Amino acid sequence: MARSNEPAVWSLFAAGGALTALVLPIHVLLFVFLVPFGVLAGDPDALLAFLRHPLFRLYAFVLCCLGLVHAAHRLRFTLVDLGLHGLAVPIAWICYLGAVLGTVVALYAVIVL
Amino acid sequence: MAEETIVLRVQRYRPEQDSDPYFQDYEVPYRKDWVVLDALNWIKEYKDGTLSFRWSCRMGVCGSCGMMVNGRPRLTCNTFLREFYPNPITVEPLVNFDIERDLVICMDTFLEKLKKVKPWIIRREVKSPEEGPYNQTPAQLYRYKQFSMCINCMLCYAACPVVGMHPEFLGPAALALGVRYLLDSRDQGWNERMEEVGSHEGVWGCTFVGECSEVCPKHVDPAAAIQQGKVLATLDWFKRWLMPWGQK
Amino acid sequence: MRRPYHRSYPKDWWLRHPHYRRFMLRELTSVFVAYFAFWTICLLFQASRGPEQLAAFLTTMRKPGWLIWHAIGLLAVLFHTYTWFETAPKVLAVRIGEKRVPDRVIVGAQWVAFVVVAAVFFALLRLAG
Ligand code: SF4
Ligand code: FES
Repeated sequence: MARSNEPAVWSLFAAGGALTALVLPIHVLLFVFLVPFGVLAGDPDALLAFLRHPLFRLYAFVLCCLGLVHAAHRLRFTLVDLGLHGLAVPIAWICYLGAVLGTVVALYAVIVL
Repeated sequence: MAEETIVLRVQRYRPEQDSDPYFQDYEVPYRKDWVVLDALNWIKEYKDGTLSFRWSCRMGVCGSCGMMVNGRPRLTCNTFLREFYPNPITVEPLVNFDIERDLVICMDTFLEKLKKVKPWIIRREVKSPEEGPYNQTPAQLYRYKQFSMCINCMLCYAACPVVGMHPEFLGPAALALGVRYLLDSRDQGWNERMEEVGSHEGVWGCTFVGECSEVCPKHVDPAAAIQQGKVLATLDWFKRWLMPWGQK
Repeated sequence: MRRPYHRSYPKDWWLRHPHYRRFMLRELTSVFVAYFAFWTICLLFQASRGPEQLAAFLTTMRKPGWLIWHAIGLLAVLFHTYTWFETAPKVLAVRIGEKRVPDRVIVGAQWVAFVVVAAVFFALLRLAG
């Protein structure tokens, strides 16, 4: 047996898991619930200015990137555990490629914002 | 006055005559202070001498009496009948192992896995007994002590779905033991041990279901050992990439 | 005579015990982690199209169907937080000298951090308008 290169993705998985555990519930509560109802940042121009702040762009990019890698890594194993044993390799490719693609799109989104 | 009894549904398999395992019911006396192992011994003594099972210490230290009791991996010497009375109790050999006979499992795969993590102290130069012991402070001891309490009962293997689905996975007890030596200040076998512990069949096979730690009768917490093994393997991996010249 | 009997592992193992079901739920929270990352990217794209588009997107999110879906998602990511905090002390065994820092201290510290982060996010958005 040989040492695995798993640490490369596992460290990102763990970082994404920790970050999303810490901020995702409040992120969702604020942007998915409170902002649409105008409880916070009810003025679209003010909201736009907030979203365009460089720090928010950085935050959004890191959250999306790490969140997607975290989810891809978890789902990869879960789908196999659920019984798709024969498809382990294609599942891994689809999951990680999806995360990479999502990261590129997120990068584009925070740049054109 | 009629004696109180309880039914034990015991899985049988005698390789020389049975093609498949089947269940046999035994009615045994019910005593409040009896454990499942007492009931099995009563069956063997008075009802059916052909029933085979492993046991030795009867006090939860030898690790040989592990079986599935009503579907859960348990030490039969510390599982009381009163936990289930008056309902029948189903006793099967530990799952995730092949069956040797009746309640006896084949432990060859487990022993192979144990050997792989090299569960002994590796030294570049071995001291002779005259030179004295390898000293260790209490703080150094406590880093791994919990992970060294394993009695090799294999309950954790029966609890682990990854072991069930991927037989090549080294499994909870062996990996906890491997991590125990990685954490031991006296050990100098980090590199060769990491080859096994840090492999795909090693800690990276684990998806952290955590059930091994739930069933462990000695509170070894193999799940924690494995996650800490992942952290160690990750630090090791980054060190190798960032400082390739630092390798011994 | 040796003739080991091999049993195959049941495909529906994850349904067979409450602990396994809880594990599966924990792992499936990742679906919603990915979904909310995707939703956030959508928010950014709508924002890049100007204030009207952004307002229209946010109005859509007030529809009951979306609300129910997102409420389920919020519960899922909260469960992710809960299980992540709960397992963290197993991954990082913090020691001070001979003593191991009790699990509940580590779990508690994470919840404190969670509340602080929530308060900061809330305050920042409040300041924004
Ligand atoms: S880790 Fe616990 S459950 Fe596993 S073999 Fe050792 S004592 Fe038994
Ligand atoms: S007989 Fe020794 S542990 Fe049960």
